[in-house]
Amino acid sequence: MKTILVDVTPFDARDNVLNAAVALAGKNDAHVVGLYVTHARLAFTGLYSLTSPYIHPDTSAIEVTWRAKAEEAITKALANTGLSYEFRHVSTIPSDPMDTLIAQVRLADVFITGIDTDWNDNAVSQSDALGQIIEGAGRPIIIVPEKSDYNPKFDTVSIGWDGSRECIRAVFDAIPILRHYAQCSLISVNVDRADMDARRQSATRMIETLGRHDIVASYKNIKAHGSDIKALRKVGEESDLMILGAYHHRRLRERIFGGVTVSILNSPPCPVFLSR
Amino acid sequence: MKTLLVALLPDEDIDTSLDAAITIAHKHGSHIIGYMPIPGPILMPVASPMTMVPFDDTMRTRFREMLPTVKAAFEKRMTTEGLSFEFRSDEQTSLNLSLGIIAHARTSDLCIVQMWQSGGKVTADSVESVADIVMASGRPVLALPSQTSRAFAYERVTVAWNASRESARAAFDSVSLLSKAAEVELVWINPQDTPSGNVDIAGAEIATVLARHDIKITDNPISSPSKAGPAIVEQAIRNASDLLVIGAYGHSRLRERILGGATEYILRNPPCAILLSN
Repeated sequence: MKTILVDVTPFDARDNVLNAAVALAGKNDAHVVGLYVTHARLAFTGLYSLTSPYIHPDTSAIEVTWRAKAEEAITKALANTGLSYEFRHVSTIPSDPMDTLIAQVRLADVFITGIDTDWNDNAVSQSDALGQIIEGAGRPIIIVPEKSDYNPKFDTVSIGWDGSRECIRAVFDAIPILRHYAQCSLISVNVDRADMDARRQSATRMIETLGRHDIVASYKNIKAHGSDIKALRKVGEESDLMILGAYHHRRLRERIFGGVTVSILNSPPCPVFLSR
Repeated sequence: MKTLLVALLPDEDIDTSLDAAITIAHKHGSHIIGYMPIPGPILMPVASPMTMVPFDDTMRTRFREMLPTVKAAFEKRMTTEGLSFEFRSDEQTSLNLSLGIIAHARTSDLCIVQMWQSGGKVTADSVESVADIVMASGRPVLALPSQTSRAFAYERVTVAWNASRESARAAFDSVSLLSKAAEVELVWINPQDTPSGNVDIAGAEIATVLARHDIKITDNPISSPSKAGPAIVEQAIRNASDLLVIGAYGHSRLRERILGGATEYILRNPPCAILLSN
């Protein structure tokens, strides 16, 4: 984790997202890139189409104000940390804001972003937009929940474990981060009796592999009444970071992310590290 | 690169694969898992009552017979080298050995396999199984050409980049190997043809990001009249590379995996060992 890309569009230039980036960068001695994509959110919220015929979005008054706010936020967060950082403004004109963002994420070890509680785009849900980034970039992303007093801790990390390709990918991508946590657990929820042994075996192998990276991990299968999502959410609430594989099914043209992923993306119980 | 899975198939020269694993293990302090899949029998349905009976068991019998020899050869090499190792073997339900390799590759940092060459070209079957392993395991795969006079090394490495998801995956998945290389060249064939490619800076951005991982890297955007596949192979040969890192492009259409043109070309005509990721 030597290059950490953090979303500083004004909606996200909140202390919690920046705090998470600064803490992680400090642990890894990483370079932080504060990314501001012109009108990414304007485009998502539909304002883009209203303004673009008249004013070039890069120079519109609101845009200039926001950009200045974003640069100020990243400077304020990093100026006294001794870490190397930069503010990067990327214009999306004339390409699609999502493509521009994804191209930037591919140039970083990890992308850190937040949840936009004011999301009001009917065409694209927020989890869909985040899903597109995870899928398109091929890089892991960390989503920091909306908590104004968020103070990153490195005590417990939980891995949602099902032995699948996506899940394993997330774990390997997270290795440089896992080593900073005092306690690491692989957690499955309500495993069928028939799958129990296979699940335990895959977990044991993963734990061995993590051990060779000097990460001590344990495995636990939680039996929960009610939905798996609820149980996983509870695990998240008690963790400082949660690692998840992002699952999706391709159904015709539509891309539907797995139920767990969508639920967690919509309101993360703790910072969530996702990859696929 | 702390856990390496080496696929050991009795028809291959297993020393080629073991040499590569040993080279990496000495540099990274890795544990080596030697894995030999045993194929299942070919089954034939018999009516009334509907059951499956073994029809052709020759492959399975032959592999079973070879098992002790392969295991002994593996253990002897590992002991001589003083490396941490384990041997695994299990029986598959079909003739498709890739399935077993995929299952064991998933929890390994790197999976090492061979590409079967005939007359210099890698066979279509072999390309297909390598692609299968890369796509289904989600782990980087080191594919070694079977007919090579050179010992495996990763001193001089060429990394193919084109700003795509797969090339990002391959570049980041190979970071720990690249950090031990003497010279890494990032090659971008015809950046002007990529919609998101800013020709002026082409590979400079990703080269800077990789350099933060202590990788000695230079970027080299190349304009070439040929297609990406042949151009990448030519450049790797020109660089006298030991290793070529590429993203594996492909998707599955129903059961069939369809490889991208460049990936397929490079796998068919490998100039050296290839590290793939998807």
